[in-house]
Amino acid sequence: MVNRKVKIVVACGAAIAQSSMLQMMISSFLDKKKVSYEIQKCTFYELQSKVKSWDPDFVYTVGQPPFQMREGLHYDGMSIFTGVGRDKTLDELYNMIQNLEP
Amino acid sequence: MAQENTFKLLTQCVQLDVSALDWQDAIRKACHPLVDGGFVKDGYSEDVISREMQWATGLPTTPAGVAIPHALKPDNVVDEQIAACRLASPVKFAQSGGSAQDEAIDVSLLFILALKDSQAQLHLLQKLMIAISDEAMLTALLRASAPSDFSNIFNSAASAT
Repeated sequence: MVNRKVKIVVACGAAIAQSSMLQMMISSFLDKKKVSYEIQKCTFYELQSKVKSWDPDFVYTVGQPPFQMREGLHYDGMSIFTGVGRDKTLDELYNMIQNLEP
Repeated sequence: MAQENTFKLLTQCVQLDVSALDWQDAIRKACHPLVDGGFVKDGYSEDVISREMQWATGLPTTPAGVAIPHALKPDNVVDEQIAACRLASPVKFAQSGGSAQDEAIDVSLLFILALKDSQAQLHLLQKLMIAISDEAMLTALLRASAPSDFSNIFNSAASAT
């Protein structure tokens, strides 16, 4: 496990509803797992510059953002949102956090 | 979450088994109680429709698709509220954040969100998230026999998962 805060970006079209809901679900999951993290939300329009400037460990979106990200960075948060497959997606996030390079 | 969960869906903002021709018609009809209740100004439904064209909000939930249309700007929002509209038969919505190859979603239930950026919004979104991502809860909402049943079921959503 990394010895720093894990950085996560959540994004959707408007950064009003869907990303806020993703943020709530991911935050409450990571709180339970006692993971130290920082989470920021933004719109799809802001996402590319956010990725560049903040260098997050993970990006979760509701659906496909309008550009490609490096492998292992971006994950679809739709399952977190709809509840269908949510536990699996969150467990995978936890496993990836544990395997992060320090 | 520590803060008290104070948001309540109002029975007056619930419409059941509304007939809609297409997704635009569904949004306009679903917005009526928000306009009538003074929660949004007249232009809100058109704000919502133009946003939906840009970024769709259809969700592939089970047992039925849900859409959560909302405007990009709070200009026409007077007071934060949501309106629920259950359709007599589903209409097609594009999938949220979807790409062209994603199939449109048959949406049976709309929640129109009239939001500003505030703490009340988080309470509201939390309830909404629980309601739509819990299959049992969504099933109960789809079967609710009256608007008051619907709002009671929705408002009973636990404060955190």
